[in-house]
Amino acid sequence: MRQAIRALGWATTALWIFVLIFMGTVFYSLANLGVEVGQSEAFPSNEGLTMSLPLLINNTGYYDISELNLTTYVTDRNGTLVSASTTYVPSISSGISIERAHNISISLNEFVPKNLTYLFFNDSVLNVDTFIILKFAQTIYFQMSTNTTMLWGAPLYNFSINEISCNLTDRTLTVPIEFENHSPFDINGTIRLDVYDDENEQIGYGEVTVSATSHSGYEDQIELFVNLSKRTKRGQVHLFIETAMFSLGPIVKEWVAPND
Amino acid sequence: MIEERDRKAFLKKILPRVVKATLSGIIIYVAFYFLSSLIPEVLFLGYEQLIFVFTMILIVFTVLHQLSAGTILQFAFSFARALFLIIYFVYALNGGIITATMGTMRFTVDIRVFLAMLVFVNVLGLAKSMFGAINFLSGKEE
Repeated sequence: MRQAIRALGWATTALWIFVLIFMGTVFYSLANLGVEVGQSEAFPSNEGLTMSLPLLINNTGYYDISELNLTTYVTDRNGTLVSASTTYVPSISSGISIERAHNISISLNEFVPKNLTYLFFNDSVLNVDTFIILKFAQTIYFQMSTNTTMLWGAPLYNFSINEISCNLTDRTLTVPIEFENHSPFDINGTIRLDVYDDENEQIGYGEVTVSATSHSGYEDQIELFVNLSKRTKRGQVHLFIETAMFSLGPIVKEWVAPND
Repeated sequence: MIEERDRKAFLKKILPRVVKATLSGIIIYVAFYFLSSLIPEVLFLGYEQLIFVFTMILIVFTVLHQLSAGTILQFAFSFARALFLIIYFVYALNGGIITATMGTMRFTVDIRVFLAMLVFVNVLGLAKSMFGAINFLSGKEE
């Protein structure tokens, strides 16, 4: 019995020492963990907008960091998911420093299927939820979440097709278009216009190139030749915008011919 | 004369225990004082009271354990201390999942493995106290 008690005593003491040393070194390692988040940069990409967030993790502690997962969810004011981006680092060994860029991509082509078309035309505030999950010393799971907001500048802010004028003698339609590009990227593409009469028959077509630099306004009057019959007094113009980043349309506007 | 001899014997018996108990209490207090100054303050936020209670109860149990050395109470106090520590760790560490909020940041730390280690060590302590008590009683019987 005495030997069993003595053995238990030694085991308890040894385990207490182990646990205390482990706890102390974990606290020390966590306190010495260097995490730096650099200045975020936004730049245009093929799909839309990419924000790059440089991360520097300097593991000066005694234990490895594993399964580091940085996830960012960008949602609009209604909670619709605009973008989800993940950066995964399988392991950061003790004494190693790593540098990664966490890229948050916002694809403008996904706005239409996600019913986020208003973001083309209106500035807004987007919610950015960031989650960092990591495993420390193979035993301790750590999760950090933060919520911030970012301003969204609409690429076609205040887009408007003003009063369409119809010249019966020249058989032309003049479509005045204006918008402001509040986004951080330039818009280069085409505006296509399909003109329909009141019987939904295409009577005209036109295409112009559009170029609006970031934070600038765009204004143009597009003149189209139309095949006007005497019966045709009104109809619709279907407008399509095609750029490398997004395709949008049709934006429908009524036109009415003046009385003879 | 006999009374004075008894008193002297009692003092001789109790004095080392009191000294030992006092020293143990002081050592625990000083150890916690230094440990808390080594660990960054931010890690204690909201846990100051729990840490204070832990230190005080640990000192009380250690002093009682030392004072009752050589009696069955010694094992009872050891058992109570181990039991208290198990309950305390489970409560203080919120079952191993700790959450904290600092401004817009929310932290969650899963230390269930660590908690399991602490509980296991104290279960060994419980077993040791029980075996000790059985051994003490059987020794007295003999």
